Amino acid sequence: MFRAAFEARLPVLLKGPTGCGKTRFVEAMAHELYPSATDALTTIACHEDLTATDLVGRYLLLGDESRWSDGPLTRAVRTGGLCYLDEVVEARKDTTVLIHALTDHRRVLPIEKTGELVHADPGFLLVISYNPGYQSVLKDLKPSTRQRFVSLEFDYPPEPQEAAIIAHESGIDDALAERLAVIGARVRNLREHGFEDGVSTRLLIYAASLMNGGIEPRRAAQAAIVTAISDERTVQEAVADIVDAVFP
Amino acid sequence: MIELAQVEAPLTLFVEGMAGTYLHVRPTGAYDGHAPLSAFASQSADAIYLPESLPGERAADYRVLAMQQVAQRLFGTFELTLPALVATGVNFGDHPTAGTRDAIHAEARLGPLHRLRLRYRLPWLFQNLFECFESARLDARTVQAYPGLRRHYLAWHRDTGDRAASAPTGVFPPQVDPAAALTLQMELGALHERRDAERRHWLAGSALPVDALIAPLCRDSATVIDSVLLADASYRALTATLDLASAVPATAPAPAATPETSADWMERKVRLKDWEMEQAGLKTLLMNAELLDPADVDAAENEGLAGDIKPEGVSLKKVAKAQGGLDPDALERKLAMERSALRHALGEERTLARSYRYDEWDQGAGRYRPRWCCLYESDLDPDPEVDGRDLAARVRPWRDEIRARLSQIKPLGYVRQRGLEDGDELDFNAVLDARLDAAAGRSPDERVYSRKDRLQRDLVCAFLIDLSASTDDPMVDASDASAAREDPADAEPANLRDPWSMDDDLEFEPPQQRRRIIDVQREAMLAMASALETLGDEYGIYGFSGYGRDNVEYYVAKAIGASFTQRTLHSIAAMKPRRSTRMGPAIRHTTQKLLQSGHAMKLMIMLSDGFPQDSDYGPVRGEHDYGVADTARAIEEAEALGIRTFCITVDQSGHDYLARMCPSEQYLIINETAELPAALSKVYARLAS
Repeated sequence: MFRAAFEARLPVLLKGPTGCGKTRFVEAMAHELYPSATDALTTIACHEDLTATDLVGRYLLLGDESRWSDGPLTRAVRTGGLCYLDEVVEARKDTTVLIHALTDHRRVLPIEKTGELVHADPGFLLVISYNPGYQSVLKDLKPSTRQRFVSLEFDYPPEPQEAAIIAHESGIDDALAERLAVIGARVRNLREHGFEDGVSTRLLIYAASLMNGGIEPRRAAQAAIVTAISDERTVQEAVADIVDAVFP
Repeated sequence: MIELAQVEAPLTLFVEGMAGTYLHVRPTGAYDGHAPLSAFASQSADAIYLPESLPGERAADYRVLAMQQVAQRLFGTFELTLPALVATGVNFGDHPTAGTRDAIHAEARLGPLHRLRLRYRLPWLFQNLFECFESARLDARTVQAYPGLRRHYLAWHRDTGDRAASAPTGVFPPQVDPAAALTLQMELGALHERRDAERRHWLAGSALPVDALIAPLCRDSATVIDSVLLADASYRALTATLDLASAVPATAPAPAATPETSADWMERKVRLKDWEMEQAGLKTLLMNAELLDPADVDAAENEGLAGDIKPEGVSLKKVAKAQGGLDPDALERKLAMERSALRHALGEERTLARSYRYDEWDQGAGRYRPRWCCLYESDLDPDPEVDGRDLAARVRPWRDEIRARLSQIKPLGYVRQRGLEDGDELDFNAVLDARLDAAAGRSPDERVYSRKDRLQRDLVCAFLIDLSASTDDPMVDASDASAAREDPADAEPANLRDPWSMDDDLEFEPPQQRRRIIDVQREAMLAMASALETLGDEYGIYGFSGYGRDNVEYYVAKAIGASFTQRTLHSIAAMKPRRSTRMGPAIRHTTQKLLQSGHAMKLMIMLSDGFPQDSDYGPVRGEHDYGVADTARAIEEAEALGIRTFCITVDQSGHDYLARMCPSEQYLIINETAELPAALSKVYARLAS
């Protein structure tokens, strides 16, 4: 699917909770689509003070002169390759304007400050990710933005698959990986209680890696899952109880 | 001794995580060694039952008890169905009347387990056997799925086993004189609803090889049917030597004598759903019929009656009747009856609500009563009889006034900050200065960038609205307040506010004739909401009422973080007078909500029309000190957690208790209810800026 979108140069929107493998997926695709290039993927983690300037570039004062410096997005547009905007809703509103021009048939990036209109390299593709689970309703993607993208939905894998992923990524034995996957599924039943995303596959892999390093399973889970997931004592206690029930 | 209250909060989450759905945890009184845990005993679809306290110090014991009930859901105890039993081909039971028409008729209202039980001459024996085997099966499955629970289960069984061993009834007489069968019945009857360990202990004294029997049940593939089959076989083995026919009178089983348990009610709930679906089906069928030209239908009907020429043309109503054996009206009546019966048996429908427990301050004892109040939070469903648009229209004139007042609060936006080390643009003044400095030989200031920063009031406000019965009172106006005071009928307004007399109250006062307090509260809230939407501040609107400490009701009209929709409008319109005013838990719950919102500045504005009161709010009914003290304590707690509180009331006598209840200068008594919207916006503007 992603490959087909890439061939048609259709921008892609990845939807899914945190730590379910969106970034890993983009990395894998970049590797597959540009096997030779080393800088085929530009990843930009968006935060709430990320402005259009941060993406496009700005004037820097160097000695006696001011010089224009391309931002990461502009560089990616010029050289081609995947540009991955992680958690795009977090960024300020003015970034969406850039995205609009880049994602329709124009495929151009207007640089307001220099008056330049950068035409995208044929190899360029914009990928954004978006986590619909976040609380803030205001930060939902606008339909006009959303409808410019081919949307791929991600979620945590079912238990057996997740167990396989954990085992593969961390190298622990299957039995422990299965136990961890069970913890993941049970804790995700509590999604509504202050942590929207539940425990991510990433956290489970962290716990598995700790165990692989010789840490006793309950302690590893305590460090990687129980305390990581919430600051609330009751939630921690409940998650600890679930962990306790699952490990032999 | 460990108390449920100590472990309830994490336990509830634990259960939700394990079961995958939210289940209320309900206390069943003190532990007496006979806690009803069996599939026959009280179970309802949305709750698990745990004793208030347990001997010993292990919190894990509560998890064991909770998991045993969760396991019944996870591993299929409740999936026992009659067709599945029939499919086994076994003729269950030894009762002579089992399977007769009368028995089936009598059983019709019961669930499969009870119907099965009644087929035996010694139903309690069968029940004990079944529960023994089924709980062994569930325990095995649970421990297999969650190995970490094994040690907790073992510890629990060891302790209860010790207790059971010391119990006097420990021996099952393997050979019983037929004449002594009645004594046997009494003795076994005493075992009714005993705990697992006790039952096993008792069975161990019998001729049955219990452990060997249980072993196959511990396999993964074993189902509840296997437990039933094993119980049946054991029953036969145990009773083979007894002459039950002479000992037990062969009358028809009397289901009336065994009260329906919640397990049965659960099945009735399922059945109710089936009926509802059936009804929906019928409705569509009828609607289609009505869409046809009535003349056509009649004609078709007549033809059909005349000579069966067009059987497909027969009135759809008739078809429906023939198909379901019911006409829609009868079905509806049946549904209504079943619903009210269910409500009666299971209490109010709470499946959509979440329950929370809060401490309460006991003024007399000078301490908190831990987890004293149970608060149910539910969404405020739009009331089909109240039109939100009416409300919106009435609010329109005030809205502008409120909006104007609130607009004086500085709006949020971006402000360009200059002279920064880093930023998206060069700050040319700073660049010039730096160049000048450099030219003049001074070291230049490097802060030459500018950036737009957000100036945001990180603020959230929760409005907490009293939905007590007294808000049904006509609004107070300065002009007729004096008149009302002279009116002897109003001499004892407290009686009218009594939740018990609410219905009468509604009857002799024609509704809607005069504007009531609740009307003004609703309008003020809606006006505030629309103004806040423009302003962009985060806010939530909640109502509360309730009756008694176990039944504090908390209604969400608009949650913090939710957006204002048509539904919100209708939810506000649906706020109506309900029951009492137990303010403490409502404030504590709102405090939690505000804390969870994660905003820096938190406000709580309470709208009330009188002192806090509830049926058991304090040792003496009608005395308000306890309630005022608890409310004051709840407000103090909120303030200590960084929440600014404010109380607005229309109660003219409010000064004496508000001064005790609220921090100074943080309450307002308004003389005329009509002032409420203006007062509200004034207060908000003051608190927010």
